[in-house]
Amino acid sequence: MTETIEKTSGVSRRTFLKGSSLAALAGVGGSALYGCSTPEEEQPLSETGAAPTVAHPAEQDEVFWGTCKSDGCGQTICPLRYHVKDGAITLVEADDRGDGEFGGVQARCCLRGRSMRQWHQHPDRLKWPLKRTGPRGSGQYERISWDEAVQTIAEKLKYTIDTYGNEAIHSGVTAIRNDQALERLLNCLGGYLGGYGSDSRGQLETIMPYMMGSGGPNGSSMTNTLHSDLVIQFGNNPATTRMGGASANYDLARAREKGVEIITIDYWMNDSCVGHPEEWQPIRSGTDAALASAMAYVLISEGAIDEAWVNKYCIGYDESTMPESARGKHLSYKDYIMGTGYDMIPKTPEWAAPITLISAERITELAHKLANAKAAYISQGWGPQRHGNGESTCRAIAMLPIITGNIGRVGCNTGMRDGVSVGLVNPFTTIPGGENPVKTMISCISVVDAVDHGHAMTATRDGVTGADKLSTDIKFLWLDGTNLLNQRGDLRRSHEIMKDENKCEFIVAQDMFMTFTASYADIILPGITRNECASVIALATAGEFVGQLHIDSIVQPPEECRNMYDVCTDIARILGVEEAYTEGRTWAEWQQFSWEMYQPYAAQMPGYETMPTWEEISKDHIWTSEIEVTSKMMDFFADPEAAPLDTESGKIEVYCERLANIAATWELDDPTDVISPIPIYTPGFESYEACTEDYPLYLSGWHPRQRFHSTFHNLENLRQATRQQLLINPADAEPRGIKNGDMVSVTNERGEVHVEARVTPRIIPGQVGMPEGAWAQIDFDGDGIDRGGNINVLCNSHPSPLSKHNCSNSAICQVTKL
Amino acid sequence: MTQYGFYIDSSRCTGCKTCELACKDYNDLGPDIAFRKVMDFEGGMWTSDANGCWTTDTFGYALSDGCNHCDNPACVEICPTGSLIKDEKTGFVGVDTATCIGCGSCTTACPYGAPKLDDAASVCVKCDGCKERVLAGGRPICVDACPVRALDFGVIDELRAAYGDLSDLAPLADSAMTGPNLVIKPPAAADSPSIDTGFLANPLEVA
Repeated sequence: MTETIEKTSGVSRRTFLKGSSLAALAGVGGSALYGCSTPEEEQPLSETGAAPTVAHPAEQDEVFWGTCKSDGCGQTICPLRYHVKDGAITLVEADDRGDGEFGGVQARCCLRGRSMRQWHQHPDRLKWPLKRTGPRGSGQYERISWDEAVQTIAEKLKYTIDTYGNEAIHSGVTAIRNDQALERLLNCLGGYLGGYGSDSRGQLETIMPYMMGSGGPNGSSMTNTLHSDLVIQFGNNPATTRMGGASANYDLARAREKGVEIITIDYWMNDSCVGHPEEWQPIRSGTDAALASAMAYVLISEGAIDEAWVNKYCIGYDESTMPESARGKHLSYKDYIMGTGYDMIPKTPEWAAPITLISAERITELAHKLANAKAAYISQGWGPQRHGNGESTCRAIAMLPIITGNIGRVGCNTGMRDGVSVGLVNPFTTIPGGENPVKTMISCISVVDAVDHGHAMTATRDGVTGADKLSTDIKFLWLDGTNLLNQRGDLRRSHEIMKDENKCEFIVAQDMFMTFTASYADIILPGITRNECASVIALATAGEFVGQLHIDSIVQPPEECRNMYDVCTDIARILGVEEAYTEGRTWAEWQQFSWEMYQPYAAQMPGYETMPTWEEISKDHIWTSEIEVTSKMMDFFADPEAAPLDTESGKIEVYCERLANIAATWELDDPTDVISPIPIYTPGFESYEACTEDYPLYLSGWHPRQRFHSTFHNLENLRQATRQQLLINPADAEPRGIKNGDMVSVTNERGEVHVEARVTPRIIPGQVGMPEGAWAQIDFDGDGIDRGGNINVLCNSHPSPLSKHNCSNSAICQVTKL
Repeated sequence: MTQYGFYIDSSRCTGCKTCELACKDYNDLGPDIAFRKVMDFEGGMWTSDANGCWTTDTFGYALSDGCNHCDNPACVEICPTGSLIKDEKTGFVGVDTATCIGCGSCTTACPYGAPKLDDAASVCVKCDGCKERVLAGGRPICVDACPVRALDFGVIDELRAAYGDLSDLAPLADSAMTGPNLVIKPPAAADSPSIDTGFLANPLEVA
């Protein structure tokens, strides 16, 4: 491993002269945008006019290392070079260290990183605390002082704890900073109702540990594909979800040019196969498990499986390794696939063809490609699991690498989404959150449910953990930099519940902008970015280096915006826990504390042997270290006895006894919900089979390039570069009289969305799709139509059977021309 | 004269538009004006069998395009005030905003739609090849921005020696019109059997 500590690039003075004529023009107006924000007193919140612009001769800029939105893109956290002049950001450039040529490792950011100046200096930024003056959701607020804000919050916290107990407090996850400042405060006050899982991959990350242990949800880095000869990805699209920063997108491009065959199975020709149509295998949305099962049928029936090898690592692939409770009942995976158990239907390609809309011949061909591969890298994005019964889908896909031995070695994957070689160290824990005295948790998706009827939620029906049932509804909700109401299915339902002040009695939101979600808060606090305070950020690439970034307040927060830690310190002081909360440290001092706390552990991780001291990183600001490409589960597959998994049996539980017990005892509220001990195909809630004459089309969504979920939706340049559009095939558009660019209405029983149509053959007929995250614009008291293009207006809020996470890619709809 | 030009590897481009946004950040442009833009060219047909199973020859590719600093720039030729000038040193086509009257002739004459009219300022604005960066030994910001290195920049003769001399790819205009200093590597999708059904799929994004 090579140490690549950058000793000199903390503050680079290397600049280029700016185009003087353009810089002068920028001052004239017209195209000029987002310069140094000079906030005017009492600027109305709705004002969106561009702030005065500064021309920025770059030769006078100072250049600092900074970061993008700090929790990255799930994998990529890009180092950015911020040009700063007179306290304002003038330009953002990408990583310029390392080899910039194709093949080299230079973590170049994506278009979102290039929009950081606009994000930081946007005129719509919240600038001071606000108190709600109209109904929840109306967006009517008045400016208040910080003293009033923290005093009110402290009083409501005390009231809630005294009246309902700590379990009545819940904190929505933060999407802006991830620093645990709020969690630490709540823990100091006796704790809060926790949330498990994530919107991103909640079904997968809950069920995979049953099958493959705690590491089960994580995939090998895409860098492995440089050592593969075949890539098969189900619903994976790194070209829009991890497109910058020397990550999966870049690795896939390099693998392609090395001659690796790539097959992307998706209901639309996603950007990862743009330019390479031969790589795209269209499929009906939500049927990936049927395809995977039929491919397994071909492989098993043709004798292409080394069953002795599989049985060495697995429980329940076939009868020989079934647990005693299930022996002799034809309950193995092989029994399911071959039609000798369960529904007694052989999962032949002919069976899967009318489900997946892929011909039997093509399914057989895909299976043969897999059989012939020396090192296949099989992955899935997080879309396939975001359907009804997605918990079975993600396991069905994971069976393909297992039964073909394409797992546990370099060049292969676990069937999960591509991950990172080395886990991130201390990006999200720059202050220790402490221990939550309240052990009860709900699925993070169940927040609105717990506001509505938390007292009735149980372990075996609603997925409450740590207790048999909740003791109370959520009465105090702290939305810490999250737009969760915009990002969860069925906005009208959420609106009806959240607007009721008798249900959740107090809502605090901390955000940078007036989001759909923030507009339901009683108090709104103006937040800051990681570049506006002292920060330590773990850099990440797919698989080639690890690193750390030290940021020292590149720019000051605008107006009265404050660090959450300082806000929480004020509240802790009022409530008498300041000493426990701060332990005498400032925010900046906690950065050093956390660094030095992690240092002994980090040194045991690959690449971190050369982790610098605090003094060194404070001076250099950036440190990276190359790592070797490794694959997940290599230890287990090298010696399953010496390195067992942390499943019940220590092996891969293809048949999982725990799941069988859960299936026998839990209450499921819809007949389509299935918890199965083995991975099966079952259509699930609001599958394509639910389409009707009124709602004949199927609707799914994806994570777009122009936003990080809902973050950045308000940046005009990003919105124009990739417009919010509904993809519809000409076969569905033409009978409806819809032309490319027309405005259309998308409707179902849950709501109506107006959005621009993109008529393109890049989506399978019968299916429409639009990216998630657009900010809803709905007058619920008026016509109730969303004119923001938010797919979640149409998505269900049905919880998945086991994990109680979202199934929002399962929706039926109709589309009409406006 | 040293003539500079751009190389676009459309087989590597995913259409992410980082080039476009980097340019906008550097040149302080808003949503209405883009000096560099990424076109999505798509087409193809679907057929289904008795089971309803689909086969398709659908294709799609992305092509990043800006000013190609042509040998015979139509904008220079049509400009009534001589405000569009081809730089003798670099071959870059720039605007003299002091004499430009904002008539917009160049915006319609250019087959690539490169010059834009800044309505508020009543002048033509366009890509200047990041002339100052280039003269300082650097490259245009869009080229340095590409996450997958699909863009390159240099002396056009050297680019052609390295990458060939193709400068035509749908939906671009015929290169014979203006002699663009552009080299393109076409994607596999350009050989699609259904290429004749292709259309510009994102006209509202590149207007």
